[in-house]
Amino acid sequence: MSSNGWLQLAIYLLVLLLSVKPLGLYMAGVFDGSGAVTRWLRPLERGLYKLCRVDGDASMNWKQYALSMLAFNAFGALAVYALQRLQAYLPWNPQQMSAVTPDSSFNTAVSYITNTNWQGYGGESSMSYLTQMLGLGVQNFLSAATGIAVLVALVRGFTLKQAQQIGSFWVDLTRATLYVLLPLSLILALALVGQGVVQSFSAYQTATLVDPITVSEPVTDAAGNALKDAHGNPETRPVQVTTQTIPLGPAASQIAIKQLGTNGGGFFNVNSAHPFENPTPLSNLLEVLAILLIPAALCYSFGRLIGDTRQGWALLAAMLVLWIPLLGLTAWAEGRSNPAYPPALAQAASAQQSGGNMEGKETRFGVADSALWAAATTAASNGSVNSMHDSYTPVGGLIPMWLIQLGEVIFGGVGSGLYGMLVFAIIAVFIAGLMVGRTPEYLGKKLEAFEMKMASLVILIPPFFSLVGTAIAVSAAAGRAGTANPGAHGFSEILYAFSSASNNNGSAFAGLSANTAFYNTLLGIVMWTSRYWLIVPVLAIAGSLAAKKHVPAGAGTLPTHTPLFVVLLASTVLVVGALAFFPALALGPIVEELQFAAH
Amino acid sequence: MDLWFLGLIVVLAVLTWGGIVLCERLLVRP
Repeated sequence: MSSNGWLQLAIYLLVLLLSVKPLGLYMAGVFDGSGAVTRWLRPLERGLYKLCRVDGDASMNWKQYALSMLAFNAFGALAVYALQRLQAYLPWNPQQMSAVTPDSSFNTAVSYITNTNWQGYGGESSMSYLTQMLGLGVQNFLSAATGIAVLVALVRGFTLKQAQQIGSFWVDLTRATLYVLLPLSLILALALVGQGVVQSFSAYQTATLVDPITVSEPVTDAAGNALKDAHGNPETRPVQVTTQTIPLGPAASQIAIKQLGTNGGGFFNVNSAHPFENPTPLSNLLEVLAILLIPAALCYSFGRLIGDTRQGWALLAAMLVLWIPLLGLTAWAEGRSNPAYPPALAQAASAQQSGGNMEGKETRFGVADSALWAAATTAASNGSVNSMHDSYTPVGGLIPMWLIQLGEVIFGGVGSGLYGMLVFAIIAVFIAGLMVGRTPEYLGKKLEAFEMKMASLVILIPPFFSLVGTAIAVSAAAGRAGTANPGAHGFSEILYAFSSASNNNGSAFAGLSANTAFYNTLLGIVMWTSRYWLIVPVLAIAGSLAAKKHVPAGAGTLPTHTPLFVVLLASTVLVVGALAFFPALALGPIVEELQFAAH
Repeated sequence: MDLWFLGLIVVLAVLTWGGIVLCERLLVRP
């Protein structure tokens, strides 16, 4: 990769780190109620509680908090399901989209409420504007706010002493939406409109091509499954194209929150590779910055809320220690020339292209900005893409997949990444206690059997559903039918899909045809369990910790703000991720890399 | 089919509710 490319990565990191403290400070003020904006808008907040008949001063125990969260999200799933099934009879449907199929509606409803935003559908070919806005756009806000609310509840577990209550889910949800997600989304949406991202209620336009083109179209059977030749490769036929349909819609407002809320579901099928979603280098920078903005800043908010910002910086440092090398490795892997290409194909950097492995990448973005996006979106549980990960080199594709499999705690989802990292911190403190005889306590709270049981559930559930789901899919004919490539790459497509669903990321190796009843149902179940079966033990930890008294740090207390702890924490994340997934990765991208090297 | 998938959402919610009850029982110390 060129020095220009490396410089772009460095500038990105610099801008991101400069934004951590101001935004983190602002969000801490929102959640402890001390922020100026919070005070100014308090009447509006009170009005919303009155409208919804919520007692803004009431607090909940962890079980009430969890039940409120569950009821709210289950209702959201039913509402999004109904919107998709009834969209043909509802307004704002200029393309007269018919009802989405039941299995796809189920998958999409669960996908959006869980902040996964896995998309088996193509937005511009299946969703009405009303479904996009009222169903998917609203859940972009609410699922992100749910993640922040659960994090705030866990933080209270550390700060409260001998308390039974951990705050109100409704208040935390409202504040996260009203003071954090809405204002940031409004600013970003306007900036994106300024860059040319579409925001319109007009029907799609049709244009006649000046130069008709011939493209290869996949051949499918009556059921819509791709046919393959005797070698297992997809069958195609040439088709001449003379017109182009130009999709429109209220995209900018949805793209802003899908980036900021680590949602990732594209308004259009090719997500942020589409020129109407991401038209310029500046829009690309803003969108990729928005992916990590809130997860990074929440680390500082966490430090402020517990009264020791060093703890927040330590967590951010652990994330960066893991992420920067993996980002560099992805950029390096994609910057290499691809030995599978014919020798006559120019792969060196020139005035026409950035060089390297450009298959599946936008020439507008090149290798550097594609690799940066891939590493950011998979680290952050975002799932949006500006290039197709299926076309990456084996190592280049392995890193995004592994970033997902590490549990979405390296930045991770909005709120969910940090509460996941805090669970890893609890595990790290416990392991240190076992190794050197330190007292297992973290931030003044003693860690006992219950916290360890719950923390174990949090780190084991995603790998379990990821690996079991992959095993079921590769064992079933319906699962294997979806792969576009035979052999190790086809296995990688399935493993990526289940890793993405079970860690609520939502991105895909684009080669998998997953809009089938089999994948929609199985991935939907995996997304649900991997979201809520983690939130419940996290809230249980919050309740357990809040009920404990504060233990002053003593000679036996492990300091958790030091470089030593940063290394210990990062190592814990790495070891769990490596142990859980190395055998599966060996069957996919690792064997592919060995085949790649044989060229 | 609608009833099947709506029922699946309800079943997943009920199982999660069961998880909450289970965690609460584990939390109760002797």
